[in-house]
Amino acid sequence: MRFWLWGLGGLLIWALHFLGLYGLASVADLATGRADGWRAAGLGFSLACLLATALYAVMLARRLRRASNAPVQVFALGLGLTGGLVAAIGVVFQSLPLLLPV
Amino acid sequence: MNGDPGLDPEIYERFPTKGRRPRDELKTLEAVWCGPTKPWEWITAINNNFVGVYYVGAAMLFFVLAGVLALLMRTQLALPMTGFLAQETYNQIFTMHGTVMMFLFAVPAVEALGVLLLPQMLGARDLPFPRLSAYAFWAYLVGGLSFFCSLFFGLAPNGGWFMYPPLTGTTYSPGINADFWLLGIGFIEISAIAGAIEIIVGVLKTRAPGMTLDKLPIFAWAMLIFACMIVIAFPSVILSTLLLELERALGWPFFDAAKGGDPLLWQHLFWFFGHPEVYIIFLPAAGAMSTIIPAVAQTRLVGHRLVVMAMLATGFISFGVWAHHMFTTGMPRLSINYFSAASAAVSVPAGVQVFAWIATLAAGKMRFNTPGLFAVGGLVIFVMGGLTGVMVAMVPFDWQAHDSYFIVAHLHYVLIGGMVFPLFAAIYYWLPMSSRRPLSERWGKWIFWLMFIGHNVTFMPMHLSGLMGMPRRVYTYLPDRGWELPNLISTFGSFLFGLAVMLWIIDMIRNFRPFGDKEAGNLFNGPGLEWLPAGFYSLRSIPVITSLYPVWEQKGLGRDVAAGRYLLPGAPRGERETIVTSPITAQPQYLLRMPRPSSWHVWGAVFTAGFFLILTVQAYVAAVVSGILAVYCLWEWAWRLDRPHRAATADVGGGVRLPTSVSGPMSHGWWAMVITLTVSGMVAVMAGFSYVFLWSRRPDLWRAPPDAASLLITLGLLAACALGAFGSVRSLKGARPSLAAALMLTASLAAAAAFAVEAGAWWSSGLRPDANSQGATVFALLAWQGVFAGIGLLMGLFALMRRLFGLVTPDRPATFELIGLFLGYTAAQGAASLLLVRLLPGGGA
Repeated sequence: MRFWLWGLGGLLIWALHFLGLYGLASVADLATGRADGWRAAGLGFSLACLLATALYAVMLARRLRRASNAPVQVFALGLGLTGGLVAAIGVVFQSLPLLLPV
Repeated sequence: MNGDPGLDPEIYERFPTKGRRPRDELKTLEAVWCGPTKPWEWITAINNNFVGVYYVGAAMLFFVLAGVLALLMRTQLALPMTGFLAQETYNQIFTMHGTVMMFLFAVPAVEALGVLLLPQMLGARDLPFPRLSAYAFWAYLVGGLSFFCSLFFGLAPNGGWFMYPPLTGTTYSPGINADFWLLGIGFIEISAIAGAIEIIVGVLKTRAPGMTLDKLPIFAWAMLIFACMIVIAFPSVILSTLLLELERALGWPFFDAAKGGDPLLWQHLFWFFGHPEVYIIFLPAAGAMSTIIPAVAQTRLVGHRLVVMAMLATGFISFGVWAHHMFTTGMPRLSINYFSAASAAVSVPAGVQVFAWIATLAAGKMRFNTPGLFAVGGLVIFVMGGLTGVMVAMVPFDWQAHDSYFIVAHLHYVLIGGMVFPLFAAIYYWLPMSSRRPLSERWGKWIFWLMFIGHNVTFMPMHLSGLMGMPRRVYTYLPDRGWELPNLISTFGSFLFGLAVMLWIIDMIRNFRPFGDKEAGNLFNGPGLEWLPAGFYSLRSIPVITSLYPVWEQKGLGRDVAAGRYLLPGAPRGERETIVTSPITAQPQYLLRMPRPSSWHVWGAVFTAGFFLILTVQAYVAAVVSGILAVYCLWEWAWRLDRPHRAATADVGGGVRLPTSVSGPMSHGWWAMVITLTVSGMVAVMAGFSYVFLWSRRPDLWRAPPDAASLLITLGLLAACALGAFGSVRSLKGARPSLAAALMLTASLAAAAAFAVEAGAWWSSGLRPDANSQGATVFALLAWQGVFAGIGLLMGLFALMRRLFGLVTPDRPATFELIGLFLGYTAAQGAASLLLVRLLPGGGA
């Protein structure tokens, strides 16, 4: 399981971020209150996901340096690192709608 | 990090072995894996060499049938105001065209390709559950043909392939046409899920030793991701079809706005399946492209790891785009923006794959043979469809183009370029391996150009007719709107496409003739294991893999494999068997005994199909009889599993001995059960989403749940179920089989009692399933739990019977472990759904 978590961690963060934003937007649609507050919550959540992605990438890079002799581990960690990059771009891109004027 | 248990890879040094193999070893292997000798054995065959070919053949049959429907539609639309087809007939035909192409051709075709190719590609004798593949195939064939025949009786569905309510509710669709779709498709998707389970376990557990994940063929990666996506996405359509059928048959108002339902719930559930479906179709085709392009260019795939990541990313992101089919439904603007962003983002991983293919073609020396032409042609068409996809991902443009012929053009470019052309490339590429005879190159090039030109002549003008305002799904149109010429051109193009398919059929019939030379060999110099000499037993011996491109880079591999110098060179116990390896590093774990042909899975498939199809015509007694017979067949099937072995270990060559039986997470059965329960969990999650969604629409209609006393009793019974199941497995491992059987039966009874208490509590509270959306969703969740309680009871009885017949021993706890897993899951699912309906909205709105 750890193998898959390291390999797919970035994409899992992306999925969590997407579902979180969608959930927040859905709750905001039902709740009364100022839209700005919900947008700020969305931005805060996005920032947390971005930080998690960065942390994940740093941990992967450190493991990658140590695992240079096992091809399958290098493969998974490399996959994870690429996935982390994809996730970071995805999280930023997915958060842009929050910056659009209401 | 991988934590993969299995034999030490140092044993690989023993292979290839030296010396001659025993003289009758190959003869025994051939006898054990022999093909059909009597006529009915062609039906009961379970070997992937047969079932895979049947599967591909059936999928292509449905492709041709749906293509004929397309030609009928194009004939009707060639000119304005023609009367070639009546309006109702046209509605049925366009619905069947979309449905058959998506459900009976596209997904089964790629699944079939997996069943046919994966065992040899992975170096296995067969996939781990060959009877399950055969069951899935027969269920699909019988169900699919019966479904298609509804067209000849004017009973075919007519509400579009997405069947939106309220159009498909009883008010606007009072006949049984919609029921055919709902029950037929729900059933066929179960068959697709069975295939997906087979593929996941097959790819993860039956690879040749040494085929670590970094050496896994790209096609196998694609099939693995494809199958995982099916497991996540298809439960949603199974749930939605069940809910709509419940509304139509029993009046439970999930989608009826007058009683708190919401038609948008259907769209959410349907498109949560429907959009990933596009990528579910595309990914295996992309995997085939990533295999074929290096072969035609005779070089390694550029950016192999990036392509794997791109496929994984496609799999993930595709679940975040479902609502882009709903931009015009009035969803909140912020949500729409998220889905728009994700829809644009999904083109990035697709783009990575396209660039990898182009780079591979540039890095190698492209050979313009037929598979190469289809691969490049598909790439061109897919890119064009992808570009219009980015256009419709933009909300303002989608508002203009929605439900117009522009969308028809877009989706056909994506699906034909992304799936049909790669599939034809795959057929031309792999047929010499499967039928031992290549298709005609000269004909193939004619077929390609006719198809390529036909496709563009058909669908390019549809962009224009769409932008000129022509809506989809109209059976005719008025003259003088400027739509005549593009429609006439489209019709001409469609017949060119049809001509190409007809020529291909003739060539296929020629290819499968039962006489003439049959030894094509590795015609395209492909690099994968599937190109090694093979028989019905797949490879003579299972090689140790040290390269991603073994045939190119492991010198003498074919010779040594054919000489039996690797693992499992024969049938050491005179049975069908293959080596099971660990999921990450492919280290040998145990020797799996595989089933021999029997008729139970065929009858099981026929009666399961019968149950669903007879329900459609509302002959309830006959349907129940068919259902009972199906359960009996499945029982007989299961009864023959997990039988004693003569020896605890067996020699698989090179002095290596493997255990003949394992249990727990190492066993293939455990993996299959976990995946099955994941499917069930996804249905439960989507049902929970439906509950919350409908509550958020009309909280004023919802009432307080029953009193807390019944909640505590139900939770207690569910806990007893879980503990009983756990205790049963522990007792069996502690050599107390009678106690184990008794505990398992008790656990199953506790699950049934929990269901009865909870259903009784809600019924006593006065809530009725047909009263409002709360009643409908609460009783739907209860019914789902009831199904599990019922299956659990059957399993408890099964455990008891096995004990009574002396088939339960402490050294083989696999059956009990799987039943225990199922009952444990049943308890967890019951507790989760119970807490949801009791705590939300709690004291009532």
